[in-house]
Amino acid sequence: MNNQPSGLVLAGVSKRFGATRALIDGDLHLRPGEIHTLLGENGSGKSTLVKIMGGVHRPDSGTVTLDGVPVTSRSPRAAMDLGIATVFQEVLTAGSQSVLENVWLGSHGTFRRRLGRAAQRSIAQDVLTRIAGAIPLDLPAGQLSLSERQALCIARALVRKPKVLILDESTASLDVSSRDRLFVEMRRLAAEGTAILFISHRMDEVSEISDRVTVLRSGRSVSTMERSDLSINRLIADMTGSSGHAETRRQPHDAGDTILQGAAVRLAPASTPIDFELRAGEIVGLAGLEGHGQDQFIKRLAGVAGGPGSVVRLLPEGAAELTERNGDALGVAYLPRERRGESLFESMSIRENFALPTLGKDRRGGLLDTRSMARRFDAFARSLSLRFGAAHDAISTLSGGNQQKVLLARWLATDPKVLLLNDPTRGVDIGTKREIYAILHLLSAEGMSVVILSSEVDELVDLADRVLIFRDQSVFAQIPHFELSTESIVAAYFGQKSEVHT
Amino acid sequence: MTSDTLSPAEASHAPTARQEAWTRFRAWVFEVPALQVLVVLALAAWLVVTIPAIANPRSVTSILVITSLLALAAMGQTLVVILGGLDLAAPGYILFGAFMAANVAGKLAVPAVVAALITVLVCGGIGALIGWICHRFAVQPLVVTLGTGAALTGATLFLADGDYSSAPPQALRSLASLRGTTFGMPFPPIILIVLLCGVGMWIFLNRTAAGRRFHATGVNFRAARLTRIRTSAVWTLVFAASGALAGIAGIFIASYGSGWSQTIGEPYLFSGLAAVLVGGTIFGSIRGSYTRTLLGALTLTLLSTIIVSNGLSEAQSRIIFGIIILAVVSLYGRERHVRDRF
Repeated sequence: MNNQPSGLVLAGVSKRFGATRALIDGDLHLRPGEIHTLLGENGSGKSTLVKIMGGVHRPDSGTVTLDGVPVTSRSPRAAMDLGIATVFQEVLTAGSQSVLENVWLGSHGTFRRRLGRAAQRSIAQDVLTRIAGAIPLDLPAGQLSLSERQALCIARALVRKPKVLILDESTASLDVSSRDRLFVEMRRLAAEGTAILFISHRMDEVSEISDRVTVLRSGRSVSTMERSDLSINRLIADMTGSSGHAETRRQPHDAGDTILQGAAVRLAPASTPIDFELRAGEIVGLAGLEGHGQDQFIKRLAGVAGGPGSVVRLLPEGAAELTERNGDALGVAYLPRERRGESLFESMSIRENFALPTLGKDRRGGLLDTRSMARRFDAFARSLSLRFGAAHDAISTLSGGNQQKVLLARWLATDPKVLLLNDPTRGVDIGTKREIYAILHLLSAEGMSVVILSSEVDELVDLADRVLIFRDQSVFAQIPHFELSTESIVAAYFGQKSEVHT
Repeated sequence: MTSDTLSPAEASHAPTARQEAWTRFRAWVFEVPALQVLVVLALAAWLVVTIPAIANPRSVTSILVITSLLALAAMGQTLVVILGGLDLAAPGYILFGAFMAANVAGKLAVPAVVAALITVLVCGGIGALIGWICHRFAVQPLVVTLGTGAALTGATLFLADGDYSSAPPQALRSLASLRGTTFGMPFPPIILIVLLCGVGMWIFLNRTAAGRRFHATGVNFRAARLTRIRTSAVWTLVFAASGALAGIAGIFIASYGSGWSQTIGEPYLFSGLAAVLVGGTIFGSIRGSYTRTLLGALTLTLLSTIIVSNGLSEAQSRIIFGIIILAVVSLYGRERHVRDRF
């Protein structure tokens, strides 16, 4: 007993999805009776680690043991039977079923209930009261508030009396009083010997509740700190992994007149309205942890999503509201995020993929002039140093990076004054990334304005004149050029405004 | 960033020579309807060898006229299938067209041209409504066209009021009559009309901006919207065209048969769709053209001629049709885009 560590231990765990190595070397020791926080930025491998613990994924290599016994969970259900309960960020409730049924969802066998109805009611009532206050058990779950439904999901895990409780951003939708109650409950459970893994993007929560913190970066566990050693600066430094690296920084330069203006743009009913001005020749970065509103914001700027507030293009002859249709006329181009789903016509040729929004330029007497199309394409192919077999090959024959260049050319061909790029370098090889950066620098020098949403912090530091950081569907911070660093950006991701001096 | 995340290309294992040959063969099948041409030639040869008497102008004209009717009925369906939908209202449109043609002289007492115009407006209008509804509310065309087609059939039968004895006037009948002539040449005008339609469709699909945008909408609806293609106009116009063309087909079908019945449109739903698919057009794909449908219609007509002249029954011929469609779909019916729709 003594030589085997108790609790849940992950050692050298790796997981690969196709060509992406989501987890390379995951180490984590979750002891009974502790509240252990897992921290990391987008794509650091957090969710993969959690899903391995919860039985959703099986690791490619490495070991997972619970109280010294190897865990080979084949399903979330099997993990649950071992006493590992996971509460995910997504609020999953069956809206038409009662609160009581939702609490016990998945706990029953197909034909047999493990507990009597009366016992079920009293346990559910008890657990719910402790984290969410009084919720009527017979109400349909669909009538509850988001916070109450989140509490319901947590209650669902708690009634199983798990040995290991994983809370994967489960506080994101909780209101403050429910969260405080949850923290009390977490401490009580820990005191009873439950091992709790806590994931949150709020630094205040992390420093309040954690006994220990493990930081993940690029799929590796980089450090584990005891509560006494916790410092927010150190956590951020560990997450970014930077200690003043050399960068090819963009030189600050003077921007021109305002050409795009957002006024009182609201991304969610209760969020703070955003006022935004884009100047000619500027490169503005948008960033934030996944799902904090930056994606919605760039869609609002592009006119492809609607909502409260207005986005107008300022032209010499006046202001014009942007819609899904008039981007061409107003000189605004938008490159969507999902290449396959939102941009590519995979079975169509490279040249046609390029020409689709600008087919009007190739029209001669009502018919398409394919030679004109070829001329226009060749000009762009040369200036973007595009590598392809033949222009009439299907675009699916190209690599991701070259596909992205064709799509960039597609929108540059519309002669935009404002270029909106939604994570343009995702899944693009490093060489092409560099080429895309060079193109963007060149275009902005010629007076084009660029808004670039990126999930890569380094990219924003190198490219942007300023970066807007989104948190909870509002702009949390605007980082000016002279303060741009991976540290300042990641600190803002996690709600820290104080810049880190290195 | 570590270097091992950067080269997804290396992850894919090298295919064997056999796999590669198969892949290339399939790519080639996608590209040109060569397979369809071969099938048509093979069937024609078989027909001539087994029944030498068929090789006379009269029989050839007959086969071509039947092919033309089928191809005309399948024209709108081709467009809808390229867009990724199905138009199950086709029998309704055809019935309405047939009703109009049969009653030109009787109940309606209007010139044939006016009857054709009314058919185009009614069927086109209904189609436009279907397309708009499917796009606006993101509903499956399957459901909407099925319902609307049934309603249109009912409405037409109501208008007919139990009278199915009337027949199209001679002017219309001569368009599809086996003894008809076109500018003095010994075949009825419908063959030329369908051929011209084929040329027109080819130009539209391949050589106009609208045709390319239409293809793009079928290939990737979401991307088409984000590429500022007016997808609602595309859907509305395509279903309108499908309705109008099926209505016109109904006029010709009634003219050819010199009369009409309550069920005149029904066989054309199945065989029209079969013509599209046997031609090799794929739901929501760049691999779709009317040329393919023409070949598909010819294939089916030759096939049914062979079946009938071998003394097989209607039931047997349907079984063989079904098996052929299954075989065709298993050869090139699978593309991964279907799940991207909506």
